[in-house]
Amino acid sequence: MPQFEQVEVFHSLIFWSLISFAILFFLLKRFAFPPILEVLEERENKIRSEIGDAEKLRQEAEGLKADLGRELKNAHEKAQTIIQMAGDESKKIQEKSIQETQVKVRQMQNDAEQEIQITRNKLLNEIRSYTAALTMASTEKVIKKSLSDDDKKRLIDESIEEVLREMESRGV
Amino acid sequence: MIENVISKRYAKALSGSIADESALRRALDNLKDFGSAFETDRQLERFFSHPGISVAKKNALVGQLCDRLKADNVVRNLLGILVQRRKILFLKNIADYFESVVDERLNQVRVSVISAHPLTGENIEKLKTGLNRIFGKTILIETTEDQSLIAGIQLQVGDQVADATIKNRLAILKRTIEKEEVA
Repeated sequence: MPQFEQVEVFHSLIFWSLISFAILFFLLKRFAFPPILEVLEERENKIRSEIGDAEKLRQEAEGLKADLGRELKNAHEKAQTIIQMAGDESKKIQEKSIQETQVKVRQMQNDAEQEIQITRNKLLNEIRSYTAALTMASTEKVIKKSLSDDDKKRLIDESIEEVLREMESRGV
Repeated sequence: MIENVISKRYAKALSGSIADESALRRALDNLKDFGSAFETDRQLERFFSHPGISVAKKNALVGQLCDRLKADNVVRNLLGILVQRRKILFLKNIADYFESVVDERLNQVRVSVISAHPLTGENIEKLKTGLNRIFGKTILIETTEDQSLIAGIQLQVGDQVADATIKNRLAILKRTIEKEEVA
């Protein structure tokens, strides 16, 4: 091929190219690479440090998450306890209220029964009193009409005996 | 109450000044008459309680009344003292106390008998005999009639009452009916 026919030219070119590359490489290694490497290293360290920070943060976040989880659990348990207590208290209040109402109802019932009894007794007393008065009035009339003179004398004799007995029994 | 104390004192003083039993009875009758006169005639009470009327005038009226009632001197004297000491209005009380003092001295007791129908002499004698046996004193019986008692008698000696009338029995029966429990 014609291209490979000019190898002589190319040998020199390749040589100088290598020399210039070497010089360039040397220069670069000498002056350019160290700051670049330094920057890179710095960058790497920074990244490593950031990764470490991130890891730490992640761990902290995990810790916080775990804490929050525990707290949430505690809060949930507390909430459950409060709900339970509220439920128990409510139940107690309800039971107390029912008992009080029952007592009141019983009291009202007793009062009503007592009132009924009083009214009944009052009525019975009135009826008895009226009956007694009526009986006495009729008896008095009948006795007055039916008493003969002999009866009157006999009753006087009997009553004399009775009052004397009574006076004697009193031990005057 | 002071009235009772004063009346008692005068009654005892009057009794102490009379020794004779018949005079004691007469004095009692006189005092009772005066007491009744004061009770029935309110003008007498007004006359003797009036502060504007002099003691002399009051004494003069007492004298006239004593003459009319033929009162003994001892009663006259007592009335004179009562007018003078402005105690004449206690006369009814004094008479009542004097009666009890006289009864005590004469060993007698007054019995009030209320009957629905008139009592015979036999009834009264029976009562007197029976009560004399119980009290051991002479019995003075005062009888009154009250037809509302229906039948029987009620006897009162001092503050004690023995009731054997039909009215009382009916009252007891009435109370029993009223107290009876209904099932």
